[in-house]
Amino acid sequence: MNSINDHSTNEAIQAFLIDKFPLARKRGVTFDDNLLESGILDSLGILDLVHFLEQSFGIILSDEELVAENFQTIARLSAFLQSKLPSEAKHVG
Amino acid sequence: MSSAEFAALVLGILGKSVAQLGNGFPELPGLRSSESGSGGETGSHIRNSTDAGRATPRKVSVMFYLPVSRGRNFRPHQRAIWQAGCTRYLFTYARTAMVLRRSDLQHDFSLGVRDGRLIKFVITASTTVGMSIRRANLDRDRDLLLGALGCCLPQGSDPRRFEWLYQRNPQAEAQVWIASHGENGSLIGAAAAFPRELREAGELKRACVLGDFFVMPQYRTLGPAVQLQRACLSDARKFEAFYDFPATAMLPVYKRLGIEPTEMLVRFAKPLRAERTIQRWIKAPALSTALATIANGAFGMRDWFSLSIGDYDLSVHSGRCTEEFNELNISAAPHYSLCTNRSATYLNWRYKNHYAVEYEFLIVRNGSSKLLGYLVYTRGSGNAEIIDLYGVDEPQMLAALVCGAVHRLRADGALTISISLLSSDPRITLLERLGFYRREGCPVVVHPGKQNGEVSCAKWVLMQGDRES
Repeated sequence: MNSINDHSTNEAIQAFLIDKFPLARKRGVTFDDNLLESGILDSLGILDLVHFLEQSFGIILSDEELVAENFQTIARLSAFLQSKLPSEAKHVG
Repeated sequence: MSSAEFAALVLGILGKSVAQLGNGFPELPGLRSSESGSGGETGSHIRNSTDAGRATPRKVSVMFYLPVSRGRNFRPHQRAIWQAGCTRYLFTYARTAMVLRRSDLQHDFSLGVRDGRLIKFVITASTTVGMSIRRANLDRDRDLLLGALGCCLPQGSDPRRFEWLYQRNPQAEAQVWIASHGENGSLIGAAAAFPRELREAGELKRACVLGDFFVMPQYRTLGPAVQLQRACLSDARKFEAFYDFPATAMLPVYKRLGIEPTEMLVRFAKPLRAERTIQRWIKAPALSTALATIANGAFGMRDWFSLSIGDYDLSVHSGRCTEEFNELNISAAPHYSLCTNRSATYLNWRYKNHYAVEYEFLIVRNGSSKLLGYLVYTRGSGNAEIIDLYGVDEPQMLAALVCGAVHRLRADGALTISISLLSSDPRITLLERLGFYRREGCPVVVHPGKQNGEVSCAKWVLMQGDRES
């Protein structure tokens, strides 16, 4: 499991999106871009992203958490991840 | 009560409940891990709540707790239910706490009982954070469903369709799940399972075809769709099999549920007349008409020599399907590993009494007038479609039916004729020999339901007539 903070989480998600999603790469997705409205993420994309997050951060996302509020932007997703991670896994600073 | 206090209360209740359950029910771990959607797979006996309550006098403690992290308040009536001990069953759903209403417990759950012991508890109505899922009442929820279907699915708002498909299905009424917003009650989506009988190597199976799944545009993220389909599958898995022809957008939902497409339904098309294609390329009317006449003549000549109906007696069947269709259904079904039970009652409902589409039957008989097979087709804006092709295992007879349909539809002015078959269907070779070309495909999901055996696709007969969405 990675030790993470907000910024490194943002960067990890951004790197994954740029690597896997051509539209994210083309637009140079930022932390505050709306991933759903811009079409960067669709349902299948969310599934890929969920798989990545579960593998990278050692968490399990439930069906109830796969909602627009959590996946709207990289920043929001990162904050959601922080709230899910046990406190010892977070690295401050 | 603060969130922290409530969390402590929940943990206390949880510990106590588990301790009580542990004494009475050694199979508790299996019980606790059960999820909506897994019902009936391990339980040797599944009953509804009322029956189960009578048959299992042992009581199980109930654990109700709220999603504390969301900071919602513990409402008095929910607390009263717990305190009064009216709720007798433990329920965990994945790792998320659920809040159940008394009404949920009255009719929307089932128990797995083996040797008098409760081994599985399946809630078939669940309340999730911000979303509740319940079984629809087709009479009470009719207008709600019609309105929403009209928004999300073409033709869905037609009341005649609702009555025909949902309420007058000869096998049973449709089972429909409705997801609504927990706070304001607004509709999030719905999913339906339409009961259908299948024959597996001739043996009758009770199955269902899934369809009319929709999520309102404002809720279209993966989570609500997965929860809704999970609830729907919890019912579908009680059948011996279920199948679906999911749209592309549904594939992530199935993937999340751990179900991969089993097969592809592939459309095959054959051009019958050339007017439309030629007019698309040549704008001068006189020239395009002349060229189309030449091309149509060439098409006709080609098929005149290559498409023979042999000595078979073909005719259009305009009346109701009668007992001879039942006899054919029973005699032909063993030749296929899986197909819809095409009884006369089913055929009359599905094709003869269809609420909107006019279907035509082309039938074939042998020398002694015995029914050997039939083909069902429909015409629409120049494109005819064969939606059912069924009969004894005699390739020449099936070829004669298709050839007969081609000749008839060409004479009536159809521009193309198409037919959809599973990609493993052995009749594909026959179609390609008759000049049909492979076109697009759509995924098919078939699940054996209770029997978790291998799904072998060889000699399946699922066609356009078997889908309802």
